[in-house]
Amino acid sequence: MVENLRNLVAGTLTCGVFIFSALNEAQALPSFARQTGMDCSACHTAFPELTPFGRTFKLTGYTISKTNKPYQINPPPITAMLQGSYSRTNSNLPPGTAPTGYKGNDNINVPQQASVFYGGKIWDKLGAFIQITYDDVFDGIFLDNTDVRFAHTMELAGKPLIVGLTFNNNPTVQDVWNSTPTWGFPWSASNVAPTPAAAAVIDNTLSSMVGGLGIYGFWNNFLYAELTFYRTALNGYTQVLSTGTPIDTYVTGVAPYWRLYLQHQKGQHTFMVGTYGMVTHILPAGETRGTADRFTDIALDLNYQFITKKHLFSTQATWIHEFQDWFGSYPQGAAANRSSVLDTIRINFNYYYRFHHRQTVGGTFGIFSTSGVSDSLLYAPAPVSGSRTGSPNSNGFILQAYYLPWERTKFTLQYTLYNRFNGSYSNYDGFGRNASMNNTLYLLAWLAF
Amino acid sequence: MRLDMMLLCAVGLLIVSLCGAGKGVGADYERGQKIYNDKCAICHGTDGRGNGPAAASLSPPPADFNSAGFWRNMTDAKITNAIENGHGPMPAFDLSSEDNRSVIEYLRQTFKP
Repeated sequence: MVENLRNLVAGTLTCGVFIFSALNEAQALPSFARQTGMDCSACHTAFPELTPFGRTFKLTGYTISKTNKPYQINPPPITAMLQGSYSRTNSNLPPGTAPTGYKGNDNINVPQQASVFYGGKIWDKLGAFIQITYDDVFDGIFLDNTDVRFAHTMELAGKPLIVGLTFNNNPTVQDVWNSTPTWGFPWSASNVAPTPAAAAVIDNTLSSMVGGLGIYGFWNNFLYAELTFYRTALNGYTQVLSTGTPIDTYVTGVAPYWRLYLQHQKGQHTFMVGTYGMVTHILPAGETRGTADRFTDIALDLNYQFITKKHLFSTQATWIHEFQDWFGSYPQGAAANRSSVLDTIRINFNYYYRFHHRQTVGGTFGIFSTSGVSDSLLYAPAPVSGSRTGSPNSNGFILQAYYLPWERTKFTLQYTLYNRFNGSYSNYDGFGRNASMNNTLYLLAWLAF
Repeated sequence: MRLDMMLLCAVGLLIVSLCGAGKGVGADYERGQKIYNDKCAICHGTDGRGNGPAAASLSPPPADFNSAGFWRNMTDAKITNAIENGHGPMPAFDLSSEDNRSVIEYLRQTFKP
């Protein structure tokens, strides 16, 4: 009864928002668009992927405005987002392995996520992207992606230099490229379907559990460099950045994060090559003191974009190599190796066709692979989530199609195919489940208003 | 008398048409001005000098429409292409062909030296 009522309320809310969003297309644009007076397409190919102007907007601290006023009050820079989804895996999840409150298959999440944002100028050169989210599986409200910036533009050698400070709660949330983890493909995915067990620390593992203060510079639309220092958001001045998130990954000391890239623009073409990485010390699971494990992530990424009025093509690629030193977990018997490595590769190709009035269709083909040293303790057998062989290796493809009837609404049809899941194709978990049984069909309606 | 009236009308028409050829007249001009101020002035500046609020951060800097250099060898087709497809840091704009013409007309009438 309660479940039916929840679905009814959620459905009504979705319909209402959808109709409101459609009827108010000409007036009710998200806050960045209202602040700049530009269409969403000035900054996004199809949200959340950024265009060159979108990247400049972010680097200048979300402060570019059509007026010279130091503030943005009317309309206020408030925006909202709603996601509703349907997930179907190739085979039902065994009892007890689905997220609490969810069925073994055919789950409808409305909302999957609902967010309110502060997005835009705060005062003069200070701006922010602050997302407060309700997540259906988490069943709570928390401070999601947050990036508060101060940016100033000056001249160096006769060319513009943007220098800025960023205060954020997730390594790579501040990044302007969609090849890095936070804003990378597949942009959104099912939060009830199984996902591979292994992930690098920099690969969204610390989201909303750390706080970082960094400095960056971007010279002549060509060279970018950044250094940010993160610490746990369990206490201290960073604590506010974990509001609503239970911290189960405790970072000790300071974790330095770096970012360096070169970009080149020629006409409608943009090329970029870069590196990013982080050194993090994390206490073994459940510990709040003692010897920490060390993770050294070194990543490379590439981007190419070609944007015209009708045709938009982009590709993103990243390789994350993680050195893992189990200084804390190995002596405790929680890891089978003293040290190991984990490699993550993601490559995707996107094409969009834009009709008049910004109606857009498109598709993405993505490849993903995680591989590393086997560890029978870290990746132990368990129904669905475990590994029979102790191997973290997973790989496969993601096929995705999009339809944007207008700029602020995106419908996504996504299919994820696993060639290998947690080490094997067949009976990967030691309980008779095959990798292909986790292949997932995912339908998403994503509205911003 | 009739000849005088015709002459008067002809002079009147001449004055009206000369006024029409000047700056800031006509619905197209006003439409171009509105679009320019909404979409272009943030980078190119309301005075067209490439000094809008976003200009300082952009490289290469936004075009200065008051510069003779900008208009040398410049064609409507080139401007239309930049508006429709973007160029470097400049985003693409989804304007109708009438809106494109209005904006170009506004640029020519208002800023071209």
